[in-house]
Amino acid sequence: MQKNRLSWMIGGPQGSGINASAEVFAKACSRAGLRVFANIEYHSNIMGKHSFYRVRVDEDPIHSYRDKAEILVALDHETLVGDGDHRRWPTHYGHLNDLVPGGGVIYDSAIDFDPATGGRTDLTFFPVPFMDIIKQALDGVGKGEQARRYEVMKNTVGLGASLALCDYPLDLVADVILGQFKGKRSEVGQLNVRAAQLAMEYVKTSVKDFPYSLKPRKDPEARLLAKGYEIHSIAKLKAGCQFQTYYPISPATDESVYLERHQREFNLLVVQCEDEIASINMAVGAAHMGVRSSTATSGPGFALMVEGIGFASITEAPGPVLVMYQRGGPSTGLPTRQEQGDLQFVLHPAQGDFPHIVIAPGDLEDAYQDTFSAFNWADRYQMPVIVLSDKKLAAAYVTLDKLELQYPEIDRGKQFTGSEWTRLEDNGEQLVRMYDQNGHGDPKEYLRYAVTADGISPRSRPGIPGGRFWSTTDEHDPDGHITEGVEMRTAMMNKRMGKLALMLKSVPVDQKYKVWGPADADLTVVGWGSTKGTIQDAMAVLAEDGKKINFLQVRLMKPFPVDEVSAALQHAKKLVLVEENYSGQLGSVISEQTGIRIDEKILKSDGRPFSEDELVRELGKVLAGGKGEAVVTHVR
Amino acid sequence: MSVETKPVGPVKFTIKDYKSDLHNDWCPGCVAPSTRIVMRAGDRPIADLKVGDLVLGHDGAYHPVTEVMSHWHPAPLHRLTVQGLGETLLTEDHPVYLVRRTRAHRTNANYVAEWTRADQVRRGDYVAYPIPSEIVDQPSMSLWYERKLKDTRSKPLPDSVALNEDFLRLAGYYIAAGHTHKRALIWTINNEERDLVDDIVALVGQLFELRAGVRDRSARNNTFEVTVASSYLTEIFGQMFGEGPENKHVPEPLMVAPLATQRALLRGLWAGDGTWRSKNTAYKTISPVLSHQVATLLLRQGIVPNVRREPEHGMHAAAYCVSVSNAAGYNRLAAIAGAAVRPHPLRRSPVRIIDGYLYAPVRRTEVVEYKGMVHNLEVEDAHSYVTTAATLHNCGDFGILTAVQMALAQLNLDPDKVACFSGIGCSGKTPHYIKAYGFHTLHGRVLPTATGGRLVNSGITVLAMGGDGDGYGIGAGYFVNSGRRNLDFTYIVHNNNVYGLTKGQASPTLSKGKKTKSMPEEAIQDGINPIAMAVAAGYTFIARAYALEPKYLAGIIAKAIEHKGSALVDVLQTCPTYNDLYTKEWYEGADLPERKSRLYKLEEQGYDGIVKDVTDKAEIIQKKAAAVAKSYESEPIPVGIYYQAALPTYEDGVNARIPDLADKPLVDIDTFHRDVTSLLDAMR
Repeated sequence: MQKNRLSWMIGGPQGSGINASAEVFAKACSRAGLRVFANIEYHSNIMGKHSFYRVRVDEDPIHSYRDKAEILVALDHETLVGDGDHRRWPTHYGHLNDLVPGGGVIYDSAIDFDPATGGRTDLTFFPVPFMDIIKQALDGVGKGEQARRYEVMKNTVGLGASLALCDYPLDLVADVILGQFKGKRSEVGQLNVRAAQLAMEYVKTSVKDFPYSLKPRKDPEARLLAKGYEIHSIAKLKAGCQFQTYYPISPATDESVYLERHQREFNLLVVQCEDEIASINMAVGAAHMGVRSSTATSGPGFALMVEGIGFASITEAPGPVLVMYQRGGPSTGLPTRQEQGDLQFVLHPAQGDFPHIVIAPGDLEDAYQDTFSAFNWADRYQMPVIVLSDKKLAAAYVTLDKLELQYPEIDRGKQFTGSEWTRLEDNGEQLVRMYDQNGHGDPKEYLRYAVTADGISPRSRPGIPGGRFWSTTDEHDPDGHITEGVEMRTAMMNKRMGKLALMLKSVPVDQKYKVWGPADADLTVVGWGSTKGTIQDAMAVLAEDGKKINFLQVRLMKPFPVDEVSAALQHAKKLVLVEENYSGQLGSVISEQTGIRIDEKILKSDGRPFSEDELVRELGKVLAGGKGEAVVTHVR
Repeated sequence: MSVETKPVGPVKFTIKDYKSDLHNDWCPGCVAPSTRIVMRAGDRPIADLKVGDLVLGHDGAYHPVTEVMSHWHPAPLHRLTVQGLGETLLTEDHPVYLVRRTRAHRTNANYVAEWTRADQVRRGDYVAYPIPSEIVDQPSMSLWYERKLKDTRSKPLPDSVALNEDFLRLAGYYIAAGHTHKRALIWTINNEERDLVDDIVALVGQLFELRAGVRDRSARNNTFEVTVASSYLTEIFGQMFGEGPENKHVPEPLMVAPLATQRALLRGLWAGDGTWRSKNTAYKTISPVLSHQVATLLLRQGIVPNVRREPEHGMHAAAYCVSVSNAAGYNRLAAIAGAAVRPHPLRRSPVRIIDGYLYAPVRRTEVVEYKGMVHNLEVEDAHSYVTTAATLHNCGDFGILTAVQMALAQLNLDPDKVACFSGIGCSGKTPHYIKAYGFHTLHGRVLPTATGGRLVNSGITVLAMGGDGDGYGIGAGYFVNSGRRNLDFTYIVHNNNVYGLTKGQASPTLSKGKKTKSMPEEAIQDGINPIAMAVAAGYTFIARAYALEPKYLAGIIAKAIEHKGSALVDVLQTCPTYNDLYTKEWYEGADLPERKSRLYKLEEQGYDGIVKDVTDKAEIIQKKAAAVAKSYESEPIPVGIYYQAALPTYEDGVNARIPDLADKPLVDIDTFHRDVTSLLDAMR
């Protein structure tokens, strides 16, 4: 009997409610003190195409999924056997392949499926009459003949049935369900609970000796169960962000919709724009106007935004902060899938040399701090900041012990506030601008782009008396007027680019990079972004085997912490690059920045994140002297 | 954009408050800095002119300068030498107002002036030179002076002096033969002109009740000295007419006095310092301002003068000789001056005065090396100014800039609370010249940027501006969506049918089949109709105006700013450099048989595009349909307000969603102490 360590999977057509069931289950586990890592795989499609949701549960911290699940809930035929029967290029060959020996399968008995033909005689199959159970639940409220209208409750039936397998108490799940149906809809909630209960009872009679179980812990700690887009959003709220623009795009939209839902209570204005070019430029306009502004997008949207990055940078706008959720590229690519393919793109998005900041958080804790810090940096260094996230980070549903900022101070940078001035004084018929007693500078001479010692000119905003300025996307002088003069051009380039070195000096070291694991490791894994958790999980597995591995996480991508990363790399005995892209983009950046080449690469670019098992296997190979290889998700 | 138009206390902004210190340097057509510009108060080098100065326009009236600009010009200039007037040094593309000579060696039968580039001016062409026609019959002039407490010797003066022939004659005597010395006025008169001495003594007594002393200095230099010992009158005359020969001038009220009165002034001038020969009479002065004023006084009398500069030699300063040698002028001036001379025998001048214009032939055109600053002006209404030797067009691109500044002044908006956003192109540079917050953004992206700015600070008046390519081409998506939003801001589009900054390719408003001189082939795609597009997109204020009528345009822009909602002002604009189809002359209809403007004002034809009841859908549809129909009228083109409806704005929607925003701008709301506990609780 394996207790409190299993993967639960539900599959069905898009729109069949697998998200709801999986998230109810995940939350019920999290509330019971178990840790969860749950992630969804779905098609770029509204209704009908296959999607599945994996919920991995454990007592120890987990940050990735396993190749094989213990329980499968199948709402349709394709979930069991794949789409090879009707698709020329199959996406998968059925999730029966994704189950451990001895695993259990809950499926709708109405599905035309013979377990004997599934090729998995080692599994236990539990056909359940989904519609009968729904009808039964409806009979309780006298609506039995309306069963067809309640077909969507199949997901709850599947969930309820699976609880019988792992022997998990229904009341925890019922609490979560009822919490989601409040007020007028509470009746629907009750119906769902009833259906789950009936399904559970139906299966319970036929389960015996199922080898995997879950038990709620006593006195569970109050943990959070969160998705990355929520964490990015809350970080924006904590940072005082006042303005968010967006154009709908997977997988970035969730963030903006989440913020939009809460705009009234937090005085945050969210604008849905006509395209991403409008999004970025509105955000730049708002930043210049003095608010903390931000936007969120994914690769194809970012491809449109690039001119706005250059605009914000040359005009030294205090922002915006842009959360960039990577998805599978190139072009429209794999809209709903995972990839770390845009690192080099966000580092070099537009023409010319210009300063901007790129930071790539590795998990939700990083994402919270980095998104928060991004606004401080935008204000302090007057440049756009990109927080490089991805689909996995955005959509994975993960247990968080706590959500805290290590660096919680708000810093709005150097500002010209107008307090140096008194208002326009009326002196007979003349308007006279008066100095105040401290009298800084000549009132006629506020220079928005003054060439200062540290390159940062105090910023003003429209409405500040005496703080009037011009700004232009042309090269300009301290007044903000156009110049093409050799000396002024040079001074301005030095001023702008110099801010990067200043920024690099003041960023806390752990926001730049971090080495996880033993210092004297035999193998150093180099990676970034959302592979962090998977690498950590794999390291933990390999450590149990006595393997000494550590992990260099690069977090600040621009300005690049050249000295620190070089030192860490030189200190390593053997290096291996782990990235979810085709070419090893961090490897290229490291090579460009430090001159160090990493030859061993474990890369994956099939649109799915690494599983823990894949990394354990590949790292083990490299550790044993083998070659790192490109990884493809197993589908057969 | 709705604004609080009430003045803030006594503060009243004027157009000057919206001028940035940046001088325009992208203006085509300029003149050398020493070029003297004819003003209501004498003339001055162009480099010294300021916004607000009144200068003579090609229409013979005075107009305020609305913009001054200058730039560095290390390239040759054209020098035009005009008979009787002198020289003007200008860039090759600067338009000059002149009449083509129809046949060489023959005077023209007809004089029809047109604007001609300096490098196309030919010897023999006639410069059309406007004769200032303003007449102000001011009965008297107040005599203001500061009464000195300790001065017991000077007798008090009357409060004012009548602007009659007596005073102007005395003024003439003073300008010609007087000067100030310490606390006295002194006339120095040739001892052969005793009657002049008597006249001065009599006039001083009659006009100011002062006694003049006469000293006979025949022994020393054959002169009489007439002295009036009044420190007050000395101060007044010194200020009014100049203290010494180098700064002598005619004060403004006298320059616009009725012609009969001015004749007395001429009489005084000639009596004091005029010389007569048998075929020529001349007035000489070392004051350049006075020389031109004398010439102007003569022109107003229908007398053709000839102004010649005599270079300095030895201890003598440069002098200006205003002479009259043609028979008609000579004889007329003799009559005015009361000079006992024999009539001039008939000698026709090649110079003509017809209907308020002097037509003076160009004697020489040259190209000269030059390296230095050149200057230009923008002049209200006339769009032209007059140098001492020629009539020049002003810079064509600034009608819109000036109109924006006029509108801001009209609404009395605090420059600190105005933000101007622009795209890329010639028009994109506009904010740099406006003293307000200025954002020169990306090509085609001005509207989203302005939208972001507007949304987070509702206390700021937001203007967006850009070209037709910027707004209707690369920025077309934002043009449409900004209308859809009905955000409270004003969008001014400079519509000149070409991409000026890249040297004149067709813009989205150029019609099919058209070809400007800068295009290798004619357009094979049609132009869009911005007015109709704005109607469809949802703009709630849609107007069109013409750049070279800045006053009208300013009125439209002011209304657009006051309108609560998305306002489009499509401004028809010429591009003197690249668009040879839609020129100033084309808009003015110079090529039409009846020479009738190709523009007409909607309101003058009884059109009213303003929706009275915005709850009445039928009225909205009817007004929209009417606006679209009007927008397809081509010749003449309607200008004015096509459509206006006070419909709910985007801000209204935002305020309903986020009630705190109705009370203060987002930028002023504290968002740095948020409690996110509720969001975290939802995650448990």
